[in-house]
Amino acid sequence: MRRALGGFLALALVAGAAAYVHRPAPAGAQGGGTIEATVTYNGAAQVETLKVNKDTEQCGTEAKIEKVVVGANKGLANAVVSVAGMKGAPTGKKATVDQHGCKFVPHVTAMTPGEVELKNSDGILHNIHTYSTANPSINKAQPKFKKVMSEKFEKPEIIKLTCDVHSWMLGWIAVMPHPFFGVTEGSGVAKIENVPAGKHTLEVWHETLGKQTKEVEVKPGQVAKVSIEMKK
Amino acid sequence: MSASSATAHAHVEHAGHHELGFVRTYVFSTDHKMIARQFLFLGLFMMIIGGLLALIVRWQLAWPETAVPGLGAILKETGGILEPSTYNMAFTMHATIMIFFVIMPILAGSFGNFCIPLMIGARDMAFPFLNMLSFWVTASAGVIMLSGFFVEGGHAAAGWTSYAPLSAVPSYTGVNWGQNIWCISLFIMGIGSMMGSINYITTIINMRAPGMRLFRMPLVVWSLFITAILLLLALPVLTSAVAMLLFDRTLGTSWFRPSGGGEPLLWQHLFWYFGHPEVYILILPAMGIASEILPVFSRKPIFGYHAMAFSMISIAFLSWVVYGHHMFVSGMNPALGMAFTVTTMIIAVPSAIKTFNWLGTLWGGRIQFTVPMLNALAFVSMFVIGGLSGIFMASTPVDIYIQDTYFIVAHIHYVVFGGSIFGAFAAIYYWFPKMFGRMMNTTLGHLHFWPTFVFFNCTFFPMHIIGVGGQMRRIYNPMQYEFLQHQQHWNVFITVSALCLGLGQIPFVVNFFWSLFAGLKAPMNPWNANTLEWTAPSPPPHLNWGPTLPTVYRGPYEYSSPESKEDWLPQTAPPVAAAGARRH
Repeated sequence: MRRALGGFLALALVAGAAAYVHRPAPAGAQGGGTIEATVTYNGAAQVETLKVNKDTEQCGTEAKIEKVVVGANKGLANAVVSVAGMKGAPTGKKATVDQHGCKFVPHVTAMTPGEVELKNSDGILHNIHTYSTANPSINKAQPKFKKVMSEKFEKPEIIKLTCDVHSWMLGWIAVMPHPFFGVTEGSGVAKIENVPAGKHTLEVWHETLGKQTKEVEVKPGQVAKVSIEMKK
Repeated sequence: MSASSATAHAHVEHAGHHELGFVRTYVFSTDHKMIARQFLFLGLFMMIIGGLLALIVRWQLAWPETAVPGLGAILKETGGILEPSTYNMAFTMHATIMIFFVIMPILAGSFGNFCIPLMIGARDMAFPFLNMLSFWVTASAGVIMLSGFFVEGGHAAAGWTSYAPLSAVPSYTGVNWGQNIWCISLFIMGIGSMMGSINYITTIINMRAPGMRLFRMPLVVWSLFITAILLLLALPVLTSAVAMLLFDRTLGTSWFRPSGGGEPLLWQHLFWYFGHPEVYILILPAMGIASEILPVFSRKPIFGYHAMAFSMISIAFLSWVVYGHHMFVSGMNPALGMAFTVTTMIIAVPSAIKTFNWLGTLWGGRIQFTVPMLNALAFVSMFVIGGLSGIFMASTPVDIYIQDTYFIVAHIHYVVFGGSIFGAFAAIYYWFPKMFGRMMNTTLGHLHFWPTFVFFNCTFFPMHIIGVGGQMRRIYNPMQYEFLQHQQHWNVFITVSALCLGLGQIPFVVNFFWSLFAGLKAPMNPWNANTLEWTAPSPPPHLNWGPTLPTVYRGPYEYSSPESKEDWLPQTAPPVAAAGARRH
């Protein structure tokens, strides 16, 4: 009986140790690596211009609707790069979207579920109108005296953001289910840090060009570089 | 009739044997006169709140996004500046309170209760306990409605019409419990109103004094009778609709939510099926009040008594088949639209009959410009403007242009302020002596009437102009629209006028309370009027008359009759055998 009990305990210890060694890396784990994704687009930038006839002091006389922004080396800006199928706790960081020059700045914001701070640095009447399906949609005016408004997005989805006062204003908020994401800048590069080692699927979303995926292998302490070319 | 008279006789003798305590006399009273006073105080108190909300709305429209004086202490976060959501709440609650908790309680609740038994020669309502319940249910609905201002997210903000799905999905307005409370309150108010209407109808049908034939009833009683029928049939539609809306919001049903297969247009049909008769619920008692006061102070019989009664009956019938004119732009078969255009134009006919009869009453009369008379004349003239602007909207092509503009806001205010509120003021000044046993001060009455009349017009007439100019109703800041900026001076003018209109009510408040306690003691019949209430002491005692009920021998408007040396001939005056000049 004692032998059997001893054997069982030894087995449990070994199994426990093995499980500990091979446990999935938690978000922000020290043993993770970095993904440096370069998103490119082989086509031309798509920009529409619109004549502005209201609030011209703050908005200017011409509004640019940038559907596809291509920078140096065909780098595609405003693409959300994320690791598919991951889980992780929200970062707790408050995302911020400003309404400046009658534009949503940044044009694309990525965040984990939580609060977003909506600023109105233009000092004119704006209107936050979200087109969401998982989260409650918002249609709230933000007058000039209301410099900051806070809203909560609890469920992951990509939300379109418009202003009913200035019809050309368009922005996006990507609410991600985990903290492994980034948004490309003008060079088309997005960095995702502390990604658990292993093989992953990288997902890229762009408002005009849609979605694309690519496999990537992350090694501990290393930077995994990956290029993704978005197609029409 | 004789049976009820005998019962009443026994009741009177019995009543003399005991005194009711304070609570039974002033709080849970079953006496129709006390209930009338309670409805009056409820309505006047709510009028202050509704009026202040209107001024807040006006401030924002004249000087957008500036601090409203006095609001800094309440809206600390913005320093007294209205946020769009607060603005939406303010106009929603202004209309809700004014319609459901000011005009209805004062006109139908207070004067219905006061006038019906006294003017038909009854000792009380048919169901006194139900009558008491009706007031307390309505008052509870009022308290519930006010509580909405204190819940998280604020009060209802979807407009008094609460169109779905705006009102059905909490996230659309950002209001959660406020809109629920709005539904609950109106549901309860609907129940209270139904209790009152059953009482009014039963009382008028069964409890008229001997000789008080239907066509000897004063026109105000006719108007309240028809109003009660409309209330009985129209209010339950709203009561059901708000219950359905509440279920959509809280239980996940989808009556009005397209996402669950519901139909937002259903709300509009239900709302306006109630809503248009409601307009006549608000205006018919005022028409009756004017019909009562004009002959008294013209010292002439009403012109066309029967035509007046039948025109009210036809208004009541037609009010059910015109509601679609509120929905011309909601999507409607053009043939149906045309039908509603025609019926709406037809309803102008009985309204015009009434107007011409009022003018016919005044024609050649010895007009006494007393304060009640001035208010009644204001009612007639303002109702004409409101009525005429209504004909514009009856026509679909015109309505498509002016719908949801300030032209509509002007129209509705000429009808419900110019009509109902002037009617209510006329009634208060006229029946105050009977209600409270004291006269109101005439100088203060003039100080109230003239600024009210002038600033009412300065406030609401320019709304026609800015409405045709394109200013939409319910917008937060007209300055946001370039095409509206050139008429902003009108918004400033309107708001200044509205503030003066508000200040113009101070003499009324002073007069009301001063007269209540220190006014001259009212004689039994200060206006030398014919109707039965003036044969009872001022104020009438419990059960109104002594052991014997008055007997009615004639119609209510026999002024300057050759039968009498005086220029008035009470309904209780027996006919002189030699004279054959009986009317009605």
